[in-house]
Amino acid sequence: MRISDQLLSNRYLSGVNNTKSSMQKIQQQILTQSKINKPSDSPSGTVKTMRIQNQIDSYDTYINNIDNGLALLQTTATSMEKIQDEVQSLSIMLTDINSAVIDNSKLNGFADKVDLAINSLLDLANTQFNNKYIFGGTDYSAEPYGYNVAGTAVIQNVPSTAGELKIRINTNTIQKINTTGQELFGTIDGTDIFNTLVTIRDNLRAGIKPTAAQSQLVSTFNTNLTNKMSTAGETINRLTSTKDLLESQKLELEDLQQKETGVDTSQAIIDLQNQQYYLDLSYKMSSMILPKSLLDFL
Amino acid sequence: MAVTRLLDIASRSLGVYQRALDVTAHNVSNANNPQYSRQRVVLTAEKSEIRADGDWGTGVSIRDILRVRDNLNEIQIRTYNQKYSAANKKSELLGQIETVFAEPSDSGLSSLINKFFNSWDKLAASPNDTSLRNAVVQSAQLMGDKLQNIHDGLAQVKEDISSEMTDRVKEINNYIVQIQGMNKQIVESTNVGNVPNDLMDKRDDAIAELSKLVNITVNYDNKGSANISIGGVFATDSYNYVQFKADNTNGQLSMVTEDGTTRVAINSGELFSFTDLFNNKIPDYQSKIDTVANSIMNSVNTAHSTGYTLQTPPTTGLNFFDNYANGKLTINANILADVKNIAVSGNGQSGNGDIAVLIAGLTKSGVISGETIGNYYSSIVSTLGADKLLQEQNASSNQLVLDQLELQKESVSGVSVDEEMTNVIKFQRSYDASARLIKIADEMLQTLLSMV
Repeated sequence: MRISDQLLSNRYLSGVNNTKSSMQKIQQQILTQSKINKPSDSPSGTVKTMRIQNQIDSYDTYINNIDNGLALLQTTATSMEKIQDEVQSLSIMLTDINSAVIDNSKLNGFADKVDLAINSLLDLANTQFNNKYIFGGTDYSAEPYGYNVAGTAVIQNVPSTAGELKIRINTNTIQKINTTGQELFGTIDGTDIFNTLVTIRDNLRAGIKPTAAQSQLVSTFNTNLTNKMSTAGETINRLTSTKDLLESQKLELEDLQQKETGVDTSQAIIDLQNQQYYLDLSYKMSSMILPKSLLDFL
Repeated sequence: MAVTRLLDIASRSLGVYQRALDVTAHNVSNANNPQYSRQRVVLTAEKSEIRADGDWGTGVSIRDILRVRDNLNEIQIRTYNQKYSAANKKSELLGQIETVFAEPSDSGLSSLINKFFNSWDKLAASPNDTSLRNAVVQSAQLMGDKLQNIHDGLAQVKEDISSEMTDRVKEINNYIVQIQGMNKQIVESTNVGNVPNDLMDKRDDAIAELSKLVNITVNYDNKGSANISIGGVFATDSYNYVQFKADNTNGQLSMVTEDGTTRVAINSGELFSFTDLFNNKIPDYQSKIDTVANSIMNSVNTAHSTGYTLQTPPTTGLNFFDNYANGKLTINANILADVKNIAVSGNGQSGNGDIAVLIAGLTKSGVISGETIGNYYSSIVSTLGADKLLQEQNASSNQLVLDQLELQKESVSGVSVDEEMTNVIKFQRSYDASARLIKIADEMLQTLLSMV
């Protein structure tokens, strides 16, 4: 093949441009720490990266929801424990009242204690967390429970306490996180725990001891309360397990994303050094070959 | 034999080798001129004189000064010029479009759409939380801004393409005028027996530059004129030329003759990349983005309109988005004025977030012809990336072929200073020898004269 001077210089320039182009690409990868900076770097890799990042963002949302849910459930569980303490104290007191040892003259004192217990139960039933009445269902317009105007009975202040508060804790999983007032206290119709205690209190003031049926109502409420506490506990466990799973999956996704896009910095630096060496070599060769021709020797 | 004959032959040789040295000097001075094709002197023995005692040689003459060029190589270079230019420019323009989309990144539309739907999930956990409601509006606005940004970016690329197309067509017109002028001069020169090599070099260079811009067909006639057509439309010969203009009618970019009567069929060169992207690719990308935006708007509105606001009393039947047009996604003004108008309750109660859960779940629903929004958008990005990569690879492979063809061209037509210096020595020695012959002839004549 016939070699002209222009051919030599064109070939040299082409080689230098290719080397510099490789160097530029490696430099960009080192600076951005990513092999994929635009879709054309890897179309399938780009889509994968987008999907992984969206999944990670979604997991963050679910974990955030779970954290909020756990906080509500913890408050609910604490309130129910306090309610149970009150109810258990009341159960013991009712048993003591009906024993032959208690004098009827002391019944007024017991009435005061029952009155205190009712107010305490009402406070606990109206517990708020983050502007939510935790036993109010999904109606936060007013305190769910309170005395009627005459102060003679406890009524429900909102149309319904049965609303369920749900959060998404995974892609296809919606979890109810509240214990509704309807589930715990039932319909406020006079046979509920509040009005049963009101009747017991009023009877005690009138010198009438609580009946076996009334004591049974309190006991039944306590049993239901225990069941609801157990359910809340199970929900807490479920949310905690789900959170652990999501965090573990999130770590795996981040690892996968790193494998897809991450740059091995040390390898990249070595590649860059190699390219720099090739460039220096090209410069050296050009200084030896390009200027020389027969003209220099005539 | 007359001694003067020796003088004739020698003096003619002096002229021939003087001319040969001129050609060599011309080659050397143009060694770094990329347009130049080396010229080679073709020497031939002069026609011999036939005499009774045999044929007598009459010296040397220059039969031709050839422009050393490989025509087949030239045709291939033009072809690959067109292919490379089309792919390279298309790759460059698609790179601009990639910048508009800004994927994969947190500021890309994929991430913003996902964050929008995630904000509904967070709101579902605390439907009466004002800050979470504000977050939903903010994420919707960010998503809307990005859609507008993409729309404006694509429109800007189209505008740039249209502007560049106009400039390139002007360039084409300039080349056509130049080539016609050179054709005319070459024909005139050839008619009087000259060989206008340098003019042909300049014309070939103009044709090569023209071939980068648009698909051309070149036919050389027997008078040396290069007759050119562009996309099947006559452009120039040695007598006439046609001028063109860029045309943008009904959203379609093309090149037409100046009188607007004939459209050029562009299928290669830089202009092909302009027309293909302007007429086909960019409208396709925009249409698909519009589909994404409309699907989001319609599906969210359908769910939102069934929900209840946080107002007293709660109201229903409200859309979240007002409208999507020309890249602008507008949020309901009532919601912008008061975030309590975000209707996430399924039953009117302030703590119910059923509609928020429903809206958040739309990201997994096949709302675009059975495909999820995420998957549909991913396919747009993937297609864009694949298009760009394909054009990059085409440009790269065509560049390799073009480089090889250019090397071959340089090998054939390029000037080697070593070769020319060798020729200088050769012609110089021949010149010296011819001068010595003249001296010898002169001495012989003097000898003869001294005998008289």
